Formats: sequence, C-alpha cells, structure tokens
Amino acid sequence: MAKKKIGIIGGGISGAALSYYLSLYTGEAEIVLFEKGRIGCGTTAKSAGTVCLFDDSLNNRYWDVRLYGFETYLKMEQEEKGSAGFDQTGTLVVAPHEQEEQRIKAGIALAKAAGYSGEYITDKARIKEILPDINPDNILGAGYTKDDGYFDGTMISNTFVKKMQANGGTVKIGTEVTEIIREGDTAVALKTADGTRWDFDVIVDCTGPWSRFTGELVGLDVPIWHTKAEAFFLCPPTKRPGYVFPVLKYPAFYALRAGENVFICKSHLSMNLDDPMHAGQWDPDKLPQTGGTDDYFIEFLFEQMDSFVPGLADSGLVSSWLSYRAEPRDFLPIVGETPVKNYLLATGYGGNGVIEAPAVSRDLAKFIMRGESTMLLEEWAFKRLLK
Amino acid sequence: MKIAVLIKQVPASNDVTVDPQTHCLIRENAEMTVNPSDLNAITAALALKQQAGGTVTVLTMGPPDANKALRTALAMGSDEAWLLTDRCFGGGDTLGTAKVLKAALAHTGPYDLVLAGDASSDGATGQVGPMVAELLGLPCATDARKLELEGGKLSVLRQWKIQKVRVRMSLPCMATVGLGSNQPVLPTIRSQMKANKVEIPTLTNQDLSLDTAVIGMPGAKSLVTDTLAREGSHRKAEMLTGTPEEIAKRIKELMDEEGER
Ligand SMILES: Cc1cc2nc3c(=O)[nH]c(=O)nc-3n(C[C@H](O)[C@H](O)[C@H](O)COP(=O)(O)OP(=O)(O)OC[C@H]3O[C@@H](n4cnc5c(N)ncnc54)[C@H](O)[C@@H]3O)c2cc1C
Repeated sequence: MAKKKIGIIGGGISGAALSYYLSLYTGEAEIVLFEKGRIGCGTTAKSAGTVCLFDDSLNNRYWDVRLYGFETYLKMEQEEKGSAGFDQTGTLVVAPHEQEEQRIKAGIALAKAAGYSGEYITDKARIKEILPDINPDNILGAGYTKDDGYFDGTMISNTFVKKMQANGGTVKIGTEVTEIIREGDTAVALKTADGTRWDFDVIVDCTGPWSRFTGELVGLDVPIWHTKAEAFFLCPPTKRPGYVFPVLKYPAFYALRAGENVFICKSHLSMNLDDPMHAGQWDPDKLPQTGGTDDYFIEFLFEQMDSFVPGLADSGLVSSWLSYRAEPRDFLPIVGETPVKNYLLATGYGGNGVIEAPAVSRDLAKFIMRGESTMLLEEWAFKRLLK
Repeated sequence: MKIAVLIKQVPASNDVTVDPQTHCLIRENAEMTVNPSDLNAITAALALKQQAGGTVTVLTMGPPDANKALRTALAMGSDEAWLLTDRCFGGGDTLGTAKVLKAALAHTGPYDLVLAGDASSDGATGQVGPMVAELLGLPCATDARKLELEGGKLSVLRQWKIQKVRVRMSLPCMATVGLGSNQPVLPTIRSQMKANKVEIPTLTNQDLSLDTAVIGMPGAKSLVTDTLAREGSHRKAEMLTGTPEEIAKRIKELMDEEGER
C-alpha cells in the first residue's frame, strides 16, 4: 500500500503533537513537518504550560480532553525525566464567587473519579498555609490538588518531534512554507522559501496565530483573531520562601513559579474580540521577544495583587512579554477539514493548546489515516464557523 | 546632595535595521528599553542618595515616547524626571546631544553630581558623558565600577584597561558608570504603577534657547558615511538542535574545524 504523504506546517505544540500521533500509524504515513523557526519557538515558547486538573481554562464539558493531555505529559515525563518539563507544584484554584465554587467542585469530583486528589477548602487558615502570600478574606474558598502543576510546551514539542523522527518522520526546521499549490478545489503541494516543491496527499496547517497568513496562501479565510496574552515575571520580596508556590488561579489572572520568580498572566476569558485594546488581527512576526506589554496591565496587575495576593504586590518586575493567542469567535479550536479539499486545520487553540493538543492530535490523526471522525472533531470542526 | 542621571532609551534587542541612506538606526518597530549601563548609573545614584540623602533627577533627550525610560527610572526610585524633546534636537551627533544635555542640567540644576551610563548599547561611542562634563567644566571619571562619598569627595573605583584605578574628585563632578558594575534595582509593580501616572515635565528649545545651528542635524560636526560589519562578523551563529548525542557530535566537529584553522 502506498504511504499517505502528509505535510504539516508549523512546529508548535499543535504540529509537533500531530506529527507524532500520525507517526504511530507505522509504515502508513510519510510525514514532513515544516517549521520556519525552531520547534516550539512560537506561542508555545511563551506559554505558561499549565495543565491543571480543575480550573476555568477549559470547560468541564471537555474534561476528557484535559485528562488525556495531563496523563500524556505525565507519562512522557515518567519515560524520560525533563522531557515534558513537569514541575509538580500542585494547583490552588480560588473561588471569589459562588459561580466559580460550583465549577471547581465539579472539577474536583471529576479529578477524584480519575484517581487524583482534590479538596475544596473553606478554612482560610489552611488556604494561607498552602499560599501565605494570599489574602483569604474576600474569597469563598479554594480547590486544591497537589497532583498537577505546569509543563514546558517547548520541551514537549521537541519530545513529540524526536519520537516522530524515531518513527521515520522528517522535520525541516528553519524552513518557511511560502506557497500552497491548488489544483481546482484541492491542495496538492506546497513550496518552501528555497523554492522546493513538496507534493502531499494532505496538508495540515498548524501555524496558530499565523494561520490567517498561511490560509491566504491557499485562498482560505481562517476566522481567527489574536488576543493579547500579557505576562510578567515577578521577583517576590522574599527569596526561597520555604513553601512551594502552587499554580494559582483566579478568574482574572493566574500565576506559577518560574525558578525563583513568579510568572503571572492575565486570564484569557476576560477578553473581548471586538475590543481593540485586547484583541485584533496582527502580525505575529512583529512580536518582540520580550516586552511589548501595555501600561494598563501593570495597573490591572497591581489591583489584583493588592486585593488578592498582597504578598506579591511589592514584587520586582523582572521582565515581561506579549504574545498572541489565536482565537476563533467561540474560543474553541478549529480542527479538521476546510472548504479546500485536503487542506486541514489544527489551529485556534487560544489559551489551551498545551491542554488540548494531545486529544485533538490523536483524533485528527485517526481521521486523516482512517477517515473516522470523533465527537470532539465534530464539535471543533471548521464548518461550525461557517453557519 | 543633588544627583542628576542622564539616560537614553535604546532598542531592546539587536534586531534593528540601519537606514541605508542616513545610516541612522530605524527605531519605529523596535521595542525600546533603558540603555543597560544607564540602569547601573541610576542604581549607583540611588545608593549614594541612600548614603548622603538628597534627590535623584533623571533626564533624557529623545522623542516623546522616551518617557517610558523615564518612568522606569522613577519606578526604580528616582525623585524626578525631565524629558528633553524638540524636533531641532534630533539627528545630532554626540556633541550636539551633549550640548542639549548640558543646557538642561543648567536649567534644572545645579547638581552636585552628574552620572550617566558609560556607553549606549546602540551607538556605543562612550562620548556623550565626558563631553557633558567638559561643557560643564566638571572633572569626570569614566567606566566607574564603584562610587563612594568620602569626606565630601567622590571616590570612584574605575576600570582602566586591565586594572582598577581609584580616583577622588571634589564635587561637583561627573562619572560614567560601567555596565554590570552593580545589580540594577528592580521596579516593583506598585512603584511602576505610580510612575506610570506621573506627569513628566518636558523641556523644549524654547526653554533651553540653544542656537539651532550648533545642535541637531545642522550642528553635527561628524557625519556617518557608512556602517561596516567588523571583520569576522560575517560568521553566522548556528543553533544546534537534535538529541544530546547529535548536539555533542556537532560540537566536536565544530571544535575540530576550528582547530584546523
Ligand atoms: C502567555 C501564554 C500563556 C499560556 N498558558 C497556557 C496554559 O497554561 N495552558 C495551555 O494549555 N495553553 C496555554 N497557552 C496557550 C498555548 O500556549 C497555545 O495554545 C499553543 O502554544 C499554540 O500552539 P500552536 O502550535 O497552535 O502555535 P505556535 O506555538 O505559535 O506554533 C505555530 C508555529 O508555526 C510556525 N509557522 C508559522 N508560519 C509558518 C510557515 N509559513 N512555515 C513554517 N512554519 C510556520 C511558527 O514559527 C510557529 O512555531 C498560553 C499562551 C500564552 C501566550
């Protein structure tokens, strides 16, 4: 049987994971992954990499997606320490209102059902024991598990690609896709910046925030917007505080430890795609490596810290970065077939690409190799956005 | 003690382009930051203020968005900031810049001590500080590593070629502070937020009344005619990727190649 030739554009966590899951169809797929920079150097490199058992980032409706992502990385880390960059700090998810309380409690029940620990704590003294920096006065309670933490998206992407190469796949780094060739309504080949033509049976666009540009190459309007993810590295007033700083989730921001510093980022759910201050359609190539954050963000951060985590309000500002999350209107990924035949998408992961990439890639690989869809692919299909 | 610190806003990364016609840096798209050794100068000033009391005033000449650098300086603990901005200041050489800075120091001063970073990361001439000192008639020590007040004098430990030299100057005086000579103070979220709200006063040439023939583009005595890469700098950096074994093999190859040269 002839091998199916598959070209993947983009070596972030989306393209890297997909290339690996396809390579599991031993001897059936000929995979080439094109990355214009280095593996995991785009949005993935600026990610917080949290895959928490219960929080607000991905609706509990997609619990299985979350659990599958978490366990995939856990196994990766067990196989080779450091290969997923796991830092098991645990997570404290804070509930300022009843609405969050309900969601957290459901998350805890789901985590427990899968065999993980989790508790909803209302004893303020106990919450302060877990994180002394916090002000527990204006909250109802907090969910806590010691079992999860954060991963390193770039490490994971490189591990996926290494495994894919071991299974016979090819990766082309420093190779930009500059042209996509169509015959009628079908994508048949692509060209790279050096002028080489590559023929494929299937091309998958995994370029995240660049998808609008790659989409244009094939005459496709990829309906994604960019939301600004603004992140800061803080140097807390007390070095080596004598406790483990957990992943800390509030509705409007989240924080995690990064060496001796704290990484802090605004939650994506507070964003509005029609608000030019937070969202728009920009050129990700123009993003500076560090800096670029908005001044208002400092004020936002200070207000949040002052009322919720006063222990961090006098932290030093070490550095900051701005990044774009690729978001469709409904904040869910775009996966699978498009109006252009044989041109598929695995993009629009927004603020959850690390969590979602394993489950999506597993299902999409099956669809590409066997033509069998799944419920997840149906829900996250391009066609929902055409309505 | 009144201390002034002269600072400059520079592109944050090396990723800047040079205009082929004017040979000036194209700064429009670049993310800007405080020149690294200026952070050392501000930090040294704040330490002296802590020792002797007084105030730290920062000044920068630049476009209106250079305010950002001044706000960083305020957030680090400086007391006041001045922005020197006027179309006629732009496009000047180091001497033109020094003239503007000197006039601004005279306007806002007098100061007991003037500090600056020893060189900017973009222009890297190291000339502006000593020129300002000369124009003000002040003694000046360059590349200061350590500054201390001793009996009303400023004692400066400075790097001179491979050795350290101690210089004692009576006040008022000037010093340029070396990159990496101290650990720059970090702004905190609280202080940065406060600094972002400060109204920063501006000085234009209306305030300074400089002869426009001796500053800016018309006053420039030096003209950049070309920019050349240093010999050997055509060699490209290579990012080594792959498994640890592959990377180790490549390092060995590179070392062998270098050895053969
Ligand atoms: C600050 C921040 C925090 C986040 N925190 C979390 C979190 O805690 N948990 C979570 O699950 N998710 C998080 N996310 C989201 C997650 O990081 C993204 O969803 C994910 O990294 C997107 O991956 P991607 O592969 O789709 O895109 P990218 O990582 O951007 O990859 C796209 C790649 O395509 C390449 N490319 C583009 N055009 C071309 C071309 N023409 N030819 C070849 N290559 C091309 C680019 O160089 C790039 O490497 C966070 C994101 C940010 C910004």
